[in-house]
Amino acid sequence: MAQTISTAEPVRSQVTARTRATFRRRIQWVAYLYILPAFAIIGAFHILPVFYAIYISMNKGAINKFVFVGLDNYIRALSGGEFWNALVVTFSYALMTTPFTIALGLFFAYLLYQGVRGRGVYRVIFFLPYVISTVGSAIVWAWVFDPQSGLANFILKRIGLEPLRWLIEPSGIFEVIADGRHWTIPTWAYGPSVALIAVSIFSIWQSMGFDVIIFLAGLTNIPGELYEAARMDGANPLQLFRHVTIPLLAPTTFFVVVISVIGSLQSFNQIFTMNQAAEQSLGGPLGSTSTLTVYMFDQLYTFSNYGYASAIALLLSLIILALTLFQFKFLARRTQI
Amino acid sequence: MKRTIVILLVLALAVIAAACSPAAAPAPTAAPPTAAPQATTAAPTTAPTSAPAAKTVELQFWHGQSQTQEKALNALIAKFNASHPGIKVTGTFQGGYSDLYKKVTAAIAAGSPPDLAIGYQNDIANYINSDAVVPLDDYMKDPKIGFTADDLKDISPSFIDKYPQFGNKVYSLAFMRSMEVMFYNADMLKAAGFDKPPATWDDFMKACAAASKPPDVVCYEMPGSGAASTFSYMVWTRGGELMSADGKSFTFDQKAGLDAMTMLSDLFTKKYAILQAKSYQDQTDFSLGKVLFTFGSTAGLPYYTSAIKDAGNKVKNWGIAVPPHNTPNPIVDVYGPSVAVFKTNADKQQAAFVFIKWLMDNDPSAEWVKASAYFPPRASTKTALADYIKANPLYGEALGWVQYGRVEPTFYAAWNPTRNFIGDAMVAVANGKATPEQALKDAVQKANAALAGK
Repeated sequence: MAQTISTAEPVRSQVTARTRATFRRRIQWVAYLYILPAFAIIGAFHILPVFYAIYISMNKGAINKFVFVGLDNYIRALSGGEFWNALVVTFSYALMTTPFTIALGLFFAYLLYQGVRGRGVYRVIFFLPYVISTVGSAIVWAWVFDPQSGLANFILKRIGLEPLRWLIEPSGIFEVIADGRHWTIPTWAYGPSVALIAVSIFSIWQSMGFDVIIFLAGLTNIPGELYEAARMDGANPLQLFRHVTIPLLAPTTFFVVVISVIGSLQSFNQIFTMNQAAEQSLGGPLGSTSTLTVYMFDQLYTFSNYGYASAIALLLSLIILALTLFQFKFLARRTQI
Repeated sequence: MKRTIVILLVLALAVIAAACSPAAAPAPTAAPPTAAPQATTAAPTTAPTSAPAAKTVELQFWHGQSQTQEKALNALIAKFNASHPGIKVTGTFQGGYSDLYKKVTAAIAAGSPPDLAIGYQNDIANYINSDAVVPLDDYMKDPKIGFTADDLKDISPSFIDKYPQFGNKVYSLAFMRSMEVMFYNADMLKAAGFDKPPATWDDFMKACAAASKPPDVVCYEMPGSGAASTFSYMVWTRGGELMSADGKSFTFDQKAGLDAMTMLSDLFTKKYAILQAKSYQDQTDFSLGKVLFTFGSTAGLPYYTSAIKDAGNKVKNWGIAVPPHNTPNPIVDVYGPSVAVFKTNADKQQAAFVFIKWLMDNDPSAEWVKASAYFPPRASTKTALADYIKANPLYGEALGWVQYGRVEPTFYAAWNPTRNFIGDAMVAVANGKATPEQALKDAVQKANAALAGK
């Protein structure tokens, strides 16, 4: 009898454990079923196209008549001048847009955070360029940069500077300045083209609103007591910004930096629409606004080089991935993420 | 358990992949017309079908015609559908020609192209490369639905596209063409001491020197991306060729090309010319009396007229002329999109040909001309256009120059990128970034690489 009792306990506990495992499995099933639609959509529209792009990048020829060429397209890209020119333009563009977008975004967000009357209205005003059609905005900005009658040259003339040809000027900005003063400077010092600067100004105007909103959200999350404590310790507004706002806003800043860098490296719409509005060839004038995305698009639709264009797309993805990992490794720690 | 889940997810993906993959296409065929065509046109006029078809053949027709042209095209389609009970064409605007090309390419990749689509010949050459379109020669020769010998005499050869790289077969037909002409401000020309537009390029430069008052008034405005068509006849009218006779290499860097590019360089160095910074800036500046000459399509005639009117008729006397030429006869660049038929099935392909042929007939052509200011395929259409020509004398003048028409090497897929290379060369020269020799050498090198498929 005693034996019976002693054996019944382990059996019951075994049964309970099995029931629990079955229940857990059932829950897992349900969980997997819940994520299945999302997984299927992401798989169909994000993951499969990546594999298809990898497949195409190893082929050459017309649509439906591909010929396998292995890594030829990658070798062609890395050994050709056009790819490297596009890479330089891409980084120039990213360097000209990202820091300014973030700095101006933070500046205006901080101003709005100071309890300006009608904050909601300003918020909408700053965010509007981000949601307005890029094509429409590009047409307006092409007028602004018109060499003959544009607002940009009107301002330059009013402050005593020489007018520029903006979107149709392929020369580097320092080259233009040096030419105006009859100086001779080496080719490497020419700087980004005036056309790329014009596109960057448009891009900063358009993207800044997004950063303002994100920074504003980050600022409202900073506890007010910290500002009060700092003020009681005698901190002036600049010190408040330097020692309270900046450190506590670091996670938001990190997010904005990562998103902005990725966005600027992938930027296409602004350049494409400005090229069109200014009657330029794609990436023009003379390839001075040809970023990697624009170069890729041109190879795809003008040259019908589907394999080569896919190889460029994948190389750009690797560059963005490497940069993002770098940012996470070296910046994330400082922002305590 | 895990394995089951993985299998389930893979199955789900497989189902989606299958759903996204091309539908089983009807057996593609480039076969000649079958014995019993479902709908025929007996004559080059808008004749009704010979017999009602047992089953309606539905055709998807993708085009790039918007606004008034789309309206006019839809009206023509409705007329065709009413007169051909066996065929139902549905026209769809798919954006400008470059957007249209992108959409067709994507549709080919997806295995579901339209039944027929408008496109430039170099784009159609890419469709041929993809084995997506059918040659039309057999349909054209077919005694029931094809062209008669009289038809072929009546239709200008520049409306029948033969592709040299593909056995000289006809892969597309056109129902519209325009040509590039020189627009001139007659008052400015007269003030500069000229009573007629320049006949040669030397005269052109003399007129530019006399009339230009930079920066307010210039002689020529070049599109910011260059002007490959303008350059093409600048070469032809100097006795040069863009391509070798065998079509194996580009030759626009030779003497005629170099002379043309040197003239362009002079125009910019002497500040007789400027680069456009906005679309249609040349039209606007022409209407404001700021530019003596512009080069553009005859399809732009209505736009020039309205731009001049909108600007308060500052330009009183203006006209169009054949571009200057050093050759005995003038040469004009005739261009425009064509229609290609995609590989679907024999019935659809045949019906698509019937529709294109109908569009090339006199009555539909005349209607289309009135809406678009394009040129019709048939010489005989001129009779139906008598009133239109009377009301639009400049159009009538240009129609008389079709006989001087030449076509760019647009039947080569490499021509599209080559146009960009030429444009870049022109922009480089205009900006002083390259000498004419350097710019042309670079452009030809790239063009030949594109021609070789590199």
